[in-house]
Amino acid sequence: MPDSQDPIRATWRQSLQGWLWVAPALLFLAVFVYGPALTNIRFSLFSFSAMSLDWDFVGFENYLRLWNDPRFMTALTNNAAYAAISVTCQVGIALVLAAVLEARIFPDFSANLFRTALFLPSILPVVVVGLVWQLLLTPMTGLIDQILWETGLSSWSKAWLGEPDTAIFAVIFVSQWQWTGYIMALFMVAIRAVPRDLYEAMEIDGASGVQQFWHITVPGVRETILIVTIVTILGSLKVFDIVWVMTAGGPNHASEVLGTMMYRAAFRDDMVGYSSAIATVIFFIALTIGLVQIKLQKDR
Amino acid sequence: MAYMQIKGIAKRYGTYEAVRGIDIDIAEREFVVIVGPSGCGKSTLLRMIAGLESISRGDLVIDGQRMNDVRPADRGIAMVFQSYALYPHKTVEQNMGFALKVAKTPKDEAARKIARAAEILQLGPLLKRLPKELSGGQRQRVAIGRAIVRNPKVFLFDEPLSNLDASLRLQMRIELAQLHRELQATMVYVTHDQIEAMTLADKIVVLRDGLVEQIGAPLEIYRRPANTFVAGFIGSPKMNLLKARVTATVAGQARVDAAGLVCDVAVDHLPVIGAEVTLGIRPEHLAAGPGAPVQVQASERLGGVTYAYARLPDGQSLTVQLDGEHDFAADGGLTVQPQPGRAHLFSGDSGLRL
Repeated sequence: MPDSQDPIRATWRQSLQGWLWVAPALLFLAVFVYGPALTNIRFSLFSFSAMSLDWDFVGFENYLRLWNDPRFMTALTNNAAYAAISVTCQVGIALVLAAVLEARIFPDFSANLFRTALFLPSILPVVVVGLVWQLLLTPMTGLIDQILWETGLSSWSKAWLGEPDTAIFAVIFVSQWQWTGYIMALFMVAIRAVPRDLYEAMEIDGASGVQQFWHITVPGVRETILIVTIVTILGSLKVFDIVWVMTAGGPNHASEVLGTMMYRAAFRDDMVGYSSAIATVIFFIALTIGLVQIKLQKDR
Repeated sequence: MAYMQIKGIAKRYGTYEAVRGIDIDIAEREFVVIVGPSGCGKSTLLRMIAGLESISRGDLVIDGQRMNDVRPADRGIAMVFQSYALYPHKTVEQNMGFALKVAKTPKDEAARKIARAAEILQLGPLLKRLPKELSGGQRQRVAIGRAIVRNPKVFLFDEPLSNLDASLRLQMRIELAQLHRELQATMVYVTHDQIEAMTLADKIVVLRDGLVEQIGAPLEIYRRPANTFVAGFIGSPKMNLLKARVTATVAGQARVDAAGLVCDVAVDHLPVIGAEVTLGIRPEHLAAGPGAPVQVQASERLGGVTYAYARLPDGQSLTVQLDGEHDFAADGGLTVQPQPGRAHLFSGDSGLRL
């Protein structure tokens, strides 16, 4: 009988060895990711400030309050607009740009110059980008306004970051300016992995550049499209820095996003429980999107 | 006038010239195989015909029309790639029908053409499958089917069998020959495999370093190679090329001696007595018998035949094809004699046929 138990013991030992190998990473994740995430959910059920010793258990009151907070809907809408525009620009336009640059339409020198110019903003710190664009978008003295005046489009001149209708879109625009080139570079790598002779076969079959794009490039890089789309949506959901630097959620909370709302609740208004409720909402939206991504990838 | 003319075509990449001025005339319905070692420029030449590479110099004429600046789709060619280049996200049917769809061919006509190609290539049951669900041979057939539906003036094949295993390659070779008979189409086929060249071609073009070494029918090239390169490239196993000396000449014939292997060879250009020449003799044209003594170093028994890898007394290597049942002497000694009228003579300096 001991013989028949041996394989089981060996399997168990093997499995233990596996667990030991992943233990450090797992411990790190548990302490710094899963632990705080679960603790945050617990915090969201209390009302307390960072300095207070007394925590009042309030159940789902923070969530109810959030639901009734008009800023929450503004923030959610702004995040959705951020995601929609980012997906269009960073996935759609970046893919088209990458395909054009990889199609060898331009001479190598121009293509490299164009690629570098588009990629450069992504290596700048977000704070620097935010401040530079704040200056560029300043009414009257900013470069954008001056261009509008010089080109006879003075009627379009406005305080881009100071008006509720345009503030969030100005910020979103700057974000696209910064990241479209980066995503384009990712797509260029993906397009290079598509066998060249598929394009040549298409050329012989008489397909135009646009047909080659739809029939070879898009299906050839669809894994990258999926991943970049998910990453862009998640990034839009978590966005904080560029908004905080450029508008701080203003004017009058018109450009508030979930990130700035959460930060304000925790570190300005000292409502840690309420802030945790916002964080929990972000967490569950992100989790849902992540699960959709895993599902879509498994389906392939 | 030839159906397709390649006139002084060259391809330059910077300072490097991959194809250095090639002239080939191809008749209608002819199966031309361009053969040569890696880097000889054969694929570049095919890609220039297809329009996938620009032509640096020279003219390409198909059916009376100069094609140098015509886009690939309008040249009346179809190409079968080495990698097959099947569209991975399209079914067999969509792969074959894509060119027709682009050309806005009426649906019923396209369906008829696809059905006919599928019938010729026995692809009927596979039409709804994706390329990844097919075997290598099936993919190859789809690639050919994609070419057939376009009804091209010229079919171009770029080493189409090199990704297949040996048995499938043989089968596809036979199928390609049948296809050529059935379609009666003009075909230009590039390969590095001289067996494919010998078995498929009406006409072989041997290339080296971007230049034509010889053009001719397979047996013509086999029987009268123009130089030592062609002599060594066409034929399997390779022709023995031995350093020899001319010992006597009579009208149209020279007697040469290669370290004891004495041979009378018919020549067009008589060499002088004492001249250093290269004696070419194929392994299958040597036989065991009274003649030159050689020392066998190794042998391969293939059943029907045995190849003996031997050395002449002066150390030159020599391959001899023997009977499958041949018994070797215990000491490896063997005497060989050439079959009369089967040897070739080449200039010792230029390597050109004498």
